[in-house]
Amino acid sequence: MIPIYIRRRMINIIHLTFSVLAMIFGLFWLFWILFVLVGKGLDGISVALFTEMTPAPGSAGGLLNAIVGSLMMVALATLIGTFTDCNGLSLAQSDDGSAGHPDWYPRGYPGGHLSG
Amino acid sequence: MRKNISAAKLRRQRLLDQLFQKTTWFFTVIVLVLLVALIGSLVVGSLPAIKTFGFNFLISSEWNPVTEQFGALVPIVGTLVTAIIALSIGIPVSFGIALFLTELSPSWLRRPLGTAIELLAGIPSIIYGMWGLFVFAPFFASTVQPWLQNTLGDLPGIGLLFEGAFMGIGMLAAGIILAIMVIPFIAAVMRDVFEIVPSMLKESAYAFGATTWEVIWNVVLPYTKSGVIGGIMLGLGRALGETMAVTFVIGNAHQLHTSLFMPGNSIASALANEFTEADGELYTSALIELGLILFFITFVVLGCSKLLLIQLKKREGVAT
Repeated sequence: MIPIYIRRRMINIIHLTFSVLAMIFGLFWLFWILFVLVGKGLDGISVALFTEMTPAPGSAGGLLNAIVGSLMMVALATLIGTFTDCNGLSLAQSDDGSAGHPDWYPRGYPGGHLSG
Repeated sequence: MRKNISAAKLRRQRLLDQLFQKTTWFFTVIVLVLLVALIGSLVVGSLPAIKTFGFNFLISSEWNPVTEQFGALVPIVGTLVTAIIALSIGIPVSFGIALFLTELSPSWLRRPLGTAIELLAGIPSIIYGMWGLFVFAPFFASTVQPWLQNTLGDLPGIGLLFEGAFMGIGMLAAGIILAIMVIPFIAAVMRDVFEIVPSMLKESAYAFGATTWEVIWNVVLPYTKSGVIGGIMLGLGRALGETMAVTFVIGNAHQLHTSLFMPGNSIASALANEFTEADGELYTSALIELGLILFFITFVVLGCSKLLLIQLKKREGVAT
C-alpha cells in the first residue's frame, strides 16, 4: 500500500502530465496542417493566381473569380450581419439585465459568432 | 422659451428611442421567422418521403435511388457515432489544454498558446477535409490502423470495432478529424470559465494542502460545471452538423458495419454528396427529411443540455 501523500502526489503528476500531453496533441495538429498548407501551397502562389480566371482543365490560369467571389460574399454577409446584430442589442437590453447570452455562456467570451 | 425647446427635444429623442427599439425588435423577430420558415420548408419538402416510408424511414438501412427505397438508419448512426468519437477524444484533450493554459503554463506562454489553439478553430472545414483525405488518411492507414488492430483488435468485443482493411478513410478517421475541429471550441470555453473561478476559492484549497489536480477536480470543475457543459454542447453541435470535412473522409457508403475502419455516411455528408444529383421527387424529399432529422437531433441535444443545466442549478442551492 502506497502512503496517501505519495499516492496523491502521484495522481497529481499523472494528471498534470496528461495535461501537457493534451496541449502538445492540440498543437501537433495545428502545426501539421499549417506545415502541409505552406509546404504544398507556397509553390502555387504566383501573380497569375490573383489576376486570371479559373482555367479550363489542362490550361494555365488563376483563381481570380474565386477570390473575388469570396470577398463579395464576405462583404455582403458583414453588411447583413451588422444589421441583424441589432437583435443582439435588443436581447442585451432585456429586462433582467442579463447580457443576452445563454447563462452557461462565459462572460466576456467573444466567440459568439463562430460557427462551422 | 428655453424650457419649450428642451421639451420638444426630449419628445423627439423619446420618439427616436422608440424607433430604435422597434427596429431592433424587428430584426429579432426576423431571426425567429427565418427559423420557423426553415423548419416549415423542411417539413413541407419531406412530406412525400414521410407519406411513402412513414416511420420505417428511421429504422431502414436501405438506400437505393434506383428502386427509390430510402432509409435513414445509416446516416443517423454515422452522425451519432462520429460525434461520439469526436467528443470522447475532444473532451479530455480540451480539458487538459484548458488545465494547462490556466494552471500550468508560464504566464508569458499563455497568450500565444491560447491563440494557437484558437487558430485551430479558424481553419476552414474544407481545409480539414482536404488535409484529412490527402495527408491524414494515408498516414492513418499505414501506421495508426495496423497498430490499433494489433492492440485493441485482439480484445474480445471491442476488437470488432477495429476489423477490416486499412483504407484510411472511414468512420474512425472522420471522428478523429471532428475531434480536432471541436477541441478549440471546447478548450476555449473551458479555459475562459476556469479563469473566472475566484482565486480565493482555489487558494483556500491550496492552503489545506490540496494538490493542483485536487483543486481542479474538487474546486474549479464543480464551480464551472455549467460553463463546461455549455462548451461541450458547443462542440457537440459542431460535430453533429459538420459537413465538408466529414464528407471528405467518411467514405460515403450507405452500409452499416460494426467496424469503425469501414466507410459510412453521416447526415450532413449524405446531403452534401447527393443533393445535386437527386432526381425525382421522392429522392429529393428523402434527403430533405434527412435534413429535418438532423435538425431534430441537434434540437434534442441542445434541449437535453438545457435541462441538464437547469437540474444542476436546482441542486446548487442544496447544502451538501
